[in-house]
This record gives sequence, structure tokens and C-alpha cells, in this order.
Amino acid sequence: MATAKVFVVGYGNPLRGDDGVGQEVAHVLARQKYHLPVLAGTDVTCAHQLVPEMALDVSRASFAVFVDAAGDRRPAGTVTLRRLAPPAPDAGRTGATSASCWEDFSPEALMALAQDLYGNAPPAALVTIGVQDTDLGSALSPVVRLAVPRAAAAVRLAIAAGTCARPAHRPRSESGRTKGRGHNA
Amino acid sequence: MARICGICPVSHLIASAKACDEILGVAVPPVALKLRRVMNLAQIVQSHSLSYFHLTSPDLLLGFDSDPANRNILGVAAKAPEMARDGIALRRFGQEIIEKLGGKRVHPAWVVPGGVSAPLQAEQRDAILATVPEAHARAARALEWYKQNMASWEDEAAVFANFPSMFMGLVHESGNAAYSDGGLTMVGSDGKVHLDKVDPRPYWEYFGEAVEPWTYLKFPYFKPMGYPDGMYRVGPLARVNVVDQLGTPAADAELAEFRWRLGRYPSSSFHYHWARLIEILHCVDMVGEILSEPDILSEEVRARAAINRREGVGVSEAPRGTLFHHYRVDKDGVVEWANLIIATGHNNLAMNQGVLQVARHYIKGEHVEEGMLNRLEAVIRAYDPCLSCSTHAVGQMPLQVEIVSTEGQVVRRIGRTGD
Repeated sequence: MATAKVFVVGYGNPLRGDDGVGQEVAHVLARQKYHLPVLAGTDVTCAHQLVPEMALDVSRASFAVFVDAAGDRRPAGTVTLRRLAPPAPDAGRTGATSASCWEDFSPEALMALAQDLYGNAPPAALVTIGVQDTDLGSALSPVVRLAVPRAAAAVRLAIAAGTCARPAHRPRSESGRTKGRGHNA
Repeated sequence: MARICGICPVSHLIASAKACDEILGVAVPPVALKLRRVMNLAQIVQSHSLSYFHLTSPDLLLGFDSDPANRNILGVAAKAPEMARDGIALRRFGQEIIEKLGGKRVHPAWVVPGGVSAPLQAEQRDAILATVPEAHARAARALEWYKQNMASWEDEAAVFANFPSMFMGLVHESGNAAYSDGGLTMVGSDGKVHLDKVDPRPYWEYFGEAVEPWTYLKFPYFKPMGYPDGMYRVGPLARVNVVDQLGTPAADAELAEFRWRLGRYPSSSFHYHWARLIEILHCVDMVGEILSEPDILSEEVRARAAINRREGVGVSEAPRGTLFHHYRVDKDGVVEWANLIIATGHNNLAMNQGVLQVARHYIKGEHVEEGMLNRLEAVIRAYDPCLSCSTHAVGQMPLQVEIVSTEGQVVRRIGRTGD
């Protein structure tokens, strides 16, 4: 049976100030999914960091959105949306996608793992928010908190653009065969 | 209290709750003890899976001297995708149990003083039980691969902290493994029993903590033997050494083969990896056994009381070893003083000796290759200290090795800054 689920993960450390903005955006989306049609059926996840276990969820999705605090020095509160390039066929083998350190597990590495292990890396987007203060603390700085609704809107925009008029995804089974074509799963 | 650690928050919750149980003076309902045990077992599965599949298997599968750029989970996925999928699935098995019971995968809050905050629902139980057979199969497959390939790392196994020491862990009165309760047992490499299922709570009678000027980490030691002769190890290798049996058929069969091949009390810390896999299998099966018990859905899961004691000690087996929480509180239950002995701390003496042994074996003269430095990391990795990632940044861990002449002169310093 084809799946059409969208996978959204907001990640970061909510005890390090603005680093937790990704999770805050995910919380907002989780509340909105019950009354906004664009989010219907979306799997919204909050996490401290991206981990390999998410590769299965990513592979089962028709579209994926990653939400994180920006790692560069852009102005605090800046919301940026960009499409992620699909993983190269040998991204995992060549180490071109870095996953050398546990804290360094990127959306690109996760997509490569989903492709290598489960045969599917869906189209994906990354929403990042410029941060001001990532010291110890559980509150977002005011300028970053004001950016949360815009970041949530960016996620919804990405989903709307990324999921319209696309064929339903047929996930590959662990045997490497595509389900729904008469092969055993 | 769960937020002490992101990898083993459940262990801290359980040890903390047990300390508070003593302060409240309550008898925790039997079903609550079982449910706490299930959550602890699930955490051990997910933590061990992370350590073995994500952080250790790159060395085993790709080689200790392989290119660091590829010696990671993506490299494992490329060469042995089924192994990578097994690791991911086993970690999810443990995480999803924790999430079903505690509401979230990291830092759950379901374990509370007096028991647990909510009973198990039938649909939760059934959903978890449905995942046990597949998890068992994956754990068994990982064990078979490991045993078939053991010859590949015989050299490392011979020198990775391979020396006699004592081993410590919690053991049930039946002689079975006990992760959330049981008596403290300390056994030497020669089989001599130094502590036989004793009450773990007066830990200060058994352990001292030495301090060295060159590190913040203390050195726990067994008091009757003094420092540093009182070195001991905790964690998977120690646990399989101190028990009579684990208590589930498949894992006991694996344990029998482990002992047949390595001896009754194997000393090399390399064998933590094999012991870790056996514990994954055991914990998966124990989850299935406990959740199949007829009273597991009981709603009597919490005892409540006011402050009845001003001091409490809670002890639990974390994935990395025995964990102690010790609190003193005021009349309102506010913690005034606390002492925690973390599992990794118990292994500090042994880890340091292991690093020295590996360095002496692999570093000859001034020529040092990356694979030699990796082996220094790998001996630490065998203990799965919290977190193993601090020693598996694949060539990025800050590391400094000094080669010193017999006259005490530093002839070469090799290091990485971790950038």
C-alpha cells in the first residue's frame, strides 16, 4: 500500500536557550495539525538531535522537513527555507555526507542512510532559524520566539509545495524489493 | 533527575526513585517493581544497541585501521546494511517501550517515588509484546555474526585491558541477573567472592574514592584491598561474570558458550562487546516474560507517603554498570545533600590501565599511525563510558599521546585537538 505521510522533525536542545527553537516549532505544528488541512496526516517529531533511527521514518515518508537553529551568524530571528538535494547514490560509501560524530548527524546524512538502508530518501526541506543566545536556559530569546510562527509557516509552505501533484511513494522492503509488485516483503 | 543523562536517564530515574522510596518508607507495589524493571531493560537494549551497532561495529566490520572518514554508521550501512538495520531496529525497540511507558523517549518522568505514575494499559502491553520476536531475532543474528568473526580481532582482544581484576554487579538471590534490584556481588578473576549479594545501600562501607591531581574523575576502589589494588570493573562483562546465570534460556545458552570459549571469568575488556550483545538478547526476552505475567495490568502501581526518613540510597544497574544515588533531605523532603557514584566512575582505574596496556603494545618508537590512536579510543569504547561518542568522533576526539624516553624526556607528542 502506498504511503503519503509527511515527516517533520524539530530538533535541538531545549535547555540551551535558542538551540531549542526547532523543538518549539515542532510543538506548534503538532498542535496545528488537528485543524490545518495542510498538516493532516503529518508525523511531527521533537528530538534533541537527529539519530540514525529516524532513517526508517524518513524512508517511509513522501516528504521530510527538518527544523533547527541555524549554525551560522545570521541575524537572530531570520527564517530560512531551502530544499535539500537528494543524496548522491554513493554518499554513504564515500563518506561525502558526514556522520563522523554523533553530534554531527545532519539531515543530509540521515537522508543518505534512509536511501542506503531502506531504498528511499524522499524530497526534503530544511527550515533554520537564526539564534541569539544558546547559553544554559530553557527560554527562547524574545526575537527568536517571535520567529516561531514564521518558521511554522515556512514548514507548512514547504509541505504544500513539496507534496502537491506527486506520485504516492512505494517503500522498499528490507529485502530490497519494492512492495506492491507481487514480491514477498 | 532523568536529565542527568541523555543516554541512560531511566537508570538515574530508577536509582533516584529507589532512594526516595527509602525516604518515604514505602513498600513499592510488586507490579510497579516489574514495570520499572521493564523500562530499565528497554533502556539497556537501546543503550547497548547504540554502543555496539553505531559506535563499535565500524571498528569490527571495517577494521581498526580503516579510513576514519568511512569508519562510522554510514560505512556500516554501505557494507552490511542488514547489520545497520538490526541496530536501528533494536534501538527503536527499546526507545518505543520507553516512550509507550513514560510518554517520551528521552528524559521520561513515569518512574516516581513509590512506584510508577500510571498503570500499563492492555493495548500498550500488546503493542510491545508484538515487537519482541523480531527484536529477539535481530539480537540473535548480531550474536551469530560476532561469534563467526571473532578471529578478526584476536590481537585486540588479547591486549584491550586484559588483566585480572574484580567484577561487580547486582545479582538476584536466585543467582540470576538483577538490573533494578538484587544484592551487590563482587567476584575476582580467580573466582573468589568478595561480596556475596550484600545490601548495596551502605556503599561507603565497601568503596572509597581516591582523587588524583591530574583529573576531575575520581577513582572508586574496593576498600578492603586499598587503592589502587582495589580495582574492579562494572557493566556488561562484570555482570555476566558475577551471575550464575542470566535467567532466560537463549541468553543462558549464549552465556554458556561465552564461558566455554573464554573461561569462567574472562579478563579482557574487549569481551564487553560480546557480553553486551548477550545482554541485549536477555533483556529483550525478559521484557517479553515480564509483560506476559497475569498481574502486569494491575492498577495498584504507586505507594504514597510523607517524609519518614531523612536519608535514602537507591542502587540500580545502568547499561554501563552499577549506579548509586544517595540523598539527605530536610523535613519537607528538599534535598540538602547528594552523592552519586556513576557507573563509568567505577571503571576509571581499569580504563586507565587499559589505555596504558594498549599504548605499550601498539606504540613502538616514534612512528604512530592513525589505527594505533584508534585502538586507544577503542579500548575506552569497550567500556561504553558515558558517552561513547566522546571517544568515537572518528579521528576527531581530542587525544594526546606522549612518548617518553627511559630518562623521562618527552621525545614525541602526538595529538589531535578535536577540531
